[in-house]
Amino acid sequence: MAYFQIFLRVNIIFILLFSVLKIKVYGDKIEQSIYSQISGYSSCVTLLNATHQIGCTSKRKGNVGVVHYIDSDENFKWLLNKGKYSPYVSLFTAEYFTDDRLKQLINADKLSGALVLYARNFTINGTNPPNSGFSPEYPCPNEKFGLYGSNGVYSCSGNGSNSVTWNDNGSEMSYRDYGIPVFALYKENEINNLIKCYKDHNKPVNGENPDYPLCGVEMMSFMHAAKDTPTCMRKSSAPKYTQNGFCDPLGDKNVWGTLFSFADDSFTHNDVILATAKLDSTAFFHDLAPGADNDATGVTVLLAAAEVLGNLTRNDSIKAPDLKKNQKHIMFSFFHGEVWDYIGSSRMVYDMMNGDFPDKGLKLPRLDLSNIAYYLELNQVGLLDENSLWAHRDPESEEHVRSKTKTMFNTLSKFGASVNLAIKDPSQSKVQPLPPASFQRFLKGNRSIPGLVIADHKAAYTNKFYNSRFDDVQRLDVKHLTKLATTVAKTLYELAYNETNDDMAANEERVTELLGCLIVNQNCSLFKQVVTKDKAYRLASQNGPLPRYVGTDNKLNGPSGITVMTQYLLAYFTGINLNVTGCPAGSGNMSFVYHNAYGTCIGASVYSSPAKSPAFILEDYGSTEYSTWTESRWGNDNRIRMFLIADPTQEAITLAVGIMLTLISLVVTVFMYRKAEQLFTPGDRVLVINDDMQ
Amino acid sequence: MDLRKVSDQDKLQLCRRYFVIGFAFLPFLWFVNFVWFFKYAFYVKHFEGQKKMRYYLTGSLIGFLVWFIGLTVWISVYQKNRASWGATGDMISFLIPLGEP
Repeated sequence: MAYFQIFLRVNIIFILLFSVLKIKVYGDKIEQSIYSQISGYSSCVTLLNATHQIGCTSKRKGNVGVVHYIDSDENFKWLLNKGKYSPYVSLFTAEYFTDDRLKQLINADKLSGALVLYARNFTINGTNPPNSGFSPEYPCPNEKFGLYGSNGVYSCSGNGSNSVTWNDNGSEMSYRDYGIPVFALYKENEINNLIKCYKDHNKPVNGENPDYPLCGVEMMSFMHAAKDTPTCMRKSSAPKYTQNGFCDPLGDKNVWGTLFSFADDSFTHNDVILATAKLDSTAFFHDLAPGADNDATGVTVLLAAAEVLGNLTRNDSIKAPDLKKNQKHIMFSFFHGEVWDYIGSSRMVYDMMNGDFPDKGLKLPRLDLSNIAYYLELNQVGLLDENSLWAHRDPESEEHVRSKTKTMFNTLSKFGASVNLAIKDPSQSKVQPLPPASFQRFLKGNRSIPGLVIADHKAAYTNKFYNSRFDDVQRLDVKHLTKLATTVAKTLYELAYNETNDDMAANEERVTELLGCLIVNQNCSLFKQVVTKDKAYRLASQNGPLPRYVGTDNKLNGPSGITVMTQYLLAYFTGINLNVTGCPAGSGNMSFVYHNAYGTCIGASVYSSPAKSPAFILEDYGSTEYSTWTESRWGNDNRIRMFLIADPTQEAITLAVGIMLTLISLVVTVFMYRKAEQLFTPGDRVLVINDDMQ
Repeated sequence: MDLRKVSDQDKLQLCRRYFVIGFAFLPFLWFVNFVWFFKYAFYVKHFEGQKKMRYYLTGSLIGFLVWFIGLTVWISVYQKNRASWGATGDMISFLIPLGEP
């Protein structure tokens, strides 16, 4: 015992001595003085489908690498050929963040992680989008779940005589399984610190490898699911009391509404005109999907057109359609999760075919695919191609359908021309298929629905940033969106009521406002005035556009922001002011009744319907018919931090010195114990016994 | 317990008890039994019942080895094939590993 105590004491003295001499002692925790946390990051996550896993993941304990900044081809080549401190974490400028470079570095076993610079308005150097465009999407989005498949004359990826490679800029980056963590960094001071750390320690000196210490980064983003959806769903449903799920299906809610309530009708014919747009987009980093041209333009135009028609109902210019007089209902629908193999539309079609649409609880007449008189879809419509918009149609439809489609097209282009907006037929010179669109799913269910898909591209996409974080860099033209809204409203009206109404015009200010709210900032006056008071309060604390990635079906706070907002907007535009005391009561057929932030009571026939793929109802996780996309779960310890990596030889020396000190102190202790009699004068120790204390 | 202070008969008794309890799926107990009494069964001079002790110890060793080999084989087969067994693999796992098939 005595041995040990003295030994400990001597050791502690040594340790204290050295720590005072060598290390400046700070008040902070040791962790804080070693690591510098990076808080402004957005990570790429793992998604799975019937056969694959895509995206990124770190190892369970995180990935560590030496930072290497790639802002030129020279830097990239140096890392590939000369860098000797593998693994690295490469820090890319936006321009050099490409699939090709990532793959080369990963194949050469150089990378344990990757970072890319990001700033929404390009305020940071190295965040500008590549001039040639950037789309991490497939060249043929959703092809296998569309109408034309991957073979045949109209297939996108095949060599068919009439094929069109829609997204010819697509690099498929979002669909790769990189197996390393990839983050986007967006806080300027943190980015500057990291680049400074790189320049101070890691930058090659005259083309040679630098010396230790090196600037390192640790990235943690460990994904729980692996392989594919059948595997992770099976594991999630295995009865385990110690483990939670592994993955969750993607999904949300579709929003739909009608100008007049369906409640008093029943459908026997082609009684409903369906006008649709999609609510979602994506990007390599899901949180950074602005979805401007991709979905916001379509949503804006459809909502603006709905308002024009809503105005007519509010001033009593139009009445509920008389189905017996061959008039038709106008229905608006916004699909969610369309990026991921048409989740929203395929579900609505599935429900319609099973007699489950509208939801039975709503007590509305059953709507079947055969009741759809016309289908008009607004796809990407913010840009122009050859100064026009293009109305795509299905080339394989039957003759009687084709003639109705022709009627639709003529009406559309007529009204377009009246407001000086060219809407053309892309199949004029060469017959081509429909671009990727929700309409394909409706045609899959029933090929005889006449319909058009309006888009801003004649063949390949005009949008060079499709489903990327740069989708909002292109100048969207509010003027032509307004014209399109007018055209759509007039077309819908004429198709529904078989008469023309020239009093219809969309409001340019409203279109500007809507587009701004959707792609610039959700914290805007229109949104705040449309929603209820408590939701308006919540908006006030938000910034930037509403997130556009569909997310998982089991969100804690209900449907995504864009779904809820679209529902309110559609209600506000198509509904009427009820002015009833005790608002929800006495609202008749209105399903969506609420007080907006100004206290007005608004009632409308607006609903939401599930946007969860039928594959998860059928529990057919290997489905080739329905979307099987799921998102992996992950732990809550995701992080990225920066630190200095010391020279391994220095570390070895430190360890050796430590061991030597221990041995020396042991020898000293033994010596002191043995010679205690000589070293310390005996008799110094006086034992005092206090009698009082006994 | 200090075996040096225990009589030969008690040792034999103890050895036998360990041997029997080992049948309750306790191979490690067999191993301990073997190590503990090895010296007395095979090295020290003869005492009454040593033969019986040898018998228990040999049994313990064999039992332990069977278990050891069996478990080793099973664990390596399981670790190698769990993923490919699919649902069965999940069912017989107490903890399903994260981040792998």
